[in-house]
Amino acid sequence: MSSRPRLALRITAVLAGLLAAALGTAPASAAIDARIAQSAPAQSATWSAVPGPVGATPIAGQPHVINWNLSGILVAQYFQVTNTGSLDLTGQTYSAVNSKATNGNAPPAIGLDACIGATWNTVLGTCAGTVVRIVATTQSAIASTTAIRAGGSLSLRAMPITLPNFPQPYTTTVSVSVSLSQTRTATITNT
Amino acid sequence: MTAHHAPHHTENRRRRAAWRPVAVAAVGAALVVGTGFGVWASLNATATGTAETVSSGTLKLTLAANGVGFSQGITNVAPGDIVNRYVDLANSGTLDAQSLTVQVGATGSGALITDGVAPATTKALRVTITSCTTNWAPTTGICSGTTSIVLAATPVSGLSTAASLIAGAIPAGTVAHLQVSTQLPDQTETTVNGNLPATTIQGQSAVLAYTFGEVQRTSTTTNS
Repeated sequence: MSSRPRLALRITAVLAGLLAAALGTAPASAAIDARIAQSAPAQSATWSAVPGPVGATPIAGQPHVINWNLSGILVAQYFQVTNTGSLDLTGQTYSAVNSKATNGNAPPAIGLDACIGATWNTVLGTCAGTVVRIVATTQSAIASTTAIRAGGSLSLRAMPITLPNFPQPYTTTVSVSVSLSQTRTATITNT
Repeated sequence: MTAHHAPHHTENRRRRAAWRPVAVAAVGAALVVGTGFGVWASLNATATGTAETVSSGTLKLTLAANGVGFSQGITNVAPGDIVNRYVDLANSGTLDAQSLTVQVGATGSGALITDGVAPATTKALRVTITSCTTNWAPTTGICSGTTSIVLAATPVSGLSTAASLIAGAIPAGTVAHLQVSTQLPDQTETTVNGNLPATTIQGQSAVLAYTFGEVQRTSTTTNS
């Protein structure tokens, strides 16, 4: 067959197709739907505590280092632990580690005492609340049950609790960790 | 001369033959169309009935807060916490509907949206939807009727496509009383000196965009 009749057949087929499409189109299967949308933001809580000097802005990620320059007398140093999270804390875990004295000898043990319900008077060395021993450098990490409200702080005193045989400079490093179990219990809120 | 023109005539015949089917189709189409609109001399009679009113149905899905609904964000959520919000979804159009679905488009912190990898896989926010046959009391979370879980706890990332809440028919006027429960799965993290862990769940933010949908009932053929 030459190309002309083939072209004619093609045109005929196209015309027939168009005619069929125009006359006999099946109805499309379509359905309407309805939607309603609303958004709600969600934000998770934080639980953390930071040790630092009294009155200073807490710096996250750093332990509190206490420098001792003993001269044969018992002195106390004060610091605070600030709840920098968004949850109230029911406890924290403390560790206090002494460095070696500069002469290589073991320094005296240091005890950390919290003043519950008040703050330490750094001049008089008194606490109007309740004094609770939190941890000593002779211990491994201790979990305390001292409560600190979100944004609040706990007043602490560090003091040698054994006699300094060798009054040489050394440091005590205080770290505070908080686990989820040391926050409020999970809640169910209906609003 | 004749012999000289013979090939030319043959070519002309071929051309005519080629266009014959086209011509036949055109005439046929003209007849089909023409008979539809053609004017024939004849007697005409018409009968006029009462005008028939036709109105189309409407399909509407409306959402009303029962309590604060979605108007109040979820803040300070800790692992293990559950926050319940209450909404009433009404099929308020005139048409029956079917296939009530929910889809949650979540943006923001991936930790709240997508579960972690082993061993801490259950990390992201989960949504559970429970229906009550009567109203929920939004401040107590009490359903005075019968409850049924229409969406089991699903990570937010699992709701990026529509999930079925009610597969069957939803008659016009029906109100679904829903409790939308958002939970941050229990998981433990320890913060040392205020330094959050690397893949922390703490202090994260996300926006959950809820989209509820329904489709019209199956179309019908009515004889009456």
